[in-house]
Amino acid sequence: MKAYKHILVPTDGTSLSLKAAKQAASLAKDLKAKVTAVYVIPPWTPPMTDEGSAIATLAFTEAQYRKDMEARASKALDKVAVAAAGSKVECDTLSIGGAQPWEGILKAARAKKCDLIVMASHGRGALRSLVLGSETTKVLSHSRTPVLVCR
Amino acid sequence: MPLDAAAGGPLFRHILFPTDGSDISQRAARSAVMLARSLGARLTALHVIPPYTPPLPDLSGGYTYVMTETEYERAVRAEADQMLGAVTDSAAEAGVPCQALSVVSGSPWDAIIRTARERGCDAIVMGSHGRKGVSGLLLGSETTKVLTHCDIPVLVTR
Repeated sequence: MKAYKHILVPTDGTSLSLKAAKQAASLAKDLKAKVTAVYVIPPWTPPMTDEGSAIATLAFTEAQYRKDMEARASKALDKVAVAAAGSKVECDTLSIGGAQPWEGILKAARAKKCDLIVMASHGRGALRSLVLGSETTKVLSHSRTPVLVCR
Repeated sequence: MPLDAAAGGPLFRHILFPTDGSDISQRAARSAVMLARSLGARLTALHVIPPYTPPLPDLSGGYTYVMTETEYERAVRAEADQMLGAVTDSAAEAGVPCQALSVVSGSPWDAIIRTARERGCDAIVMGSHGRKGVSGLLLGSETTKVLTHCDIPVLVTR
């Protein structure tokens, strides 16, 4: 069995995910592996009324959503790139749109042929102290690639 | 807490590898040994033995073979030695220092976390599922509980 050579580091911009990214960078340095950082932009869902019809006048359009999300993605991915550079680890960055985080993460792992995923136990959700984060759980449930869950 | 990259040491120095002897555990053993070897870390292999359950009275009146506590202990210890022996053998082949222990507990996840804490382990490598296999759950029940309650990193493999 070969050592891990290409680590996928999902980030959602939270400090927990940056903490996991730093551990990923440290591990990559120890293993002489490279890193790909990924930010997944969930699909735009327009707000709906009770009857199910989309609200006609939106203060916030899909285009604005994308623009805002891409800016957040850049910011989050840059932080991972800085952590990788700090450990002298090769790092490339990727943002994936139109998928739920867990799907985008697994898609990125397959596309980049990563052999390990390193991610935080929790993301943006509120139930941090009680359970494992929902996207982390879904990645764990569906991934064929090993997942290192950091906290 | 895991070491900061700036501190200079490898991220993990002492990895805990719990096993239940299942196929997934056996594959996970290879990952644990490989990771330990790549990091120059040591391993502690752990098997959690379920406690002896005294047999319930048989109301049907038929003959049932009942294992005594002594027989049970002998059987489970032999099983533990075998599965842990396989791990220590692979570790030895890879030049990885490895201790093995088995612990009796009705709560594998709790025994795993306790052992990690008592032994000063800084990471856990374990299979996504155990003996019950992958068909029932998206993620094995003990693995899920370890993940929920653990405060060190856990590497989950298939």
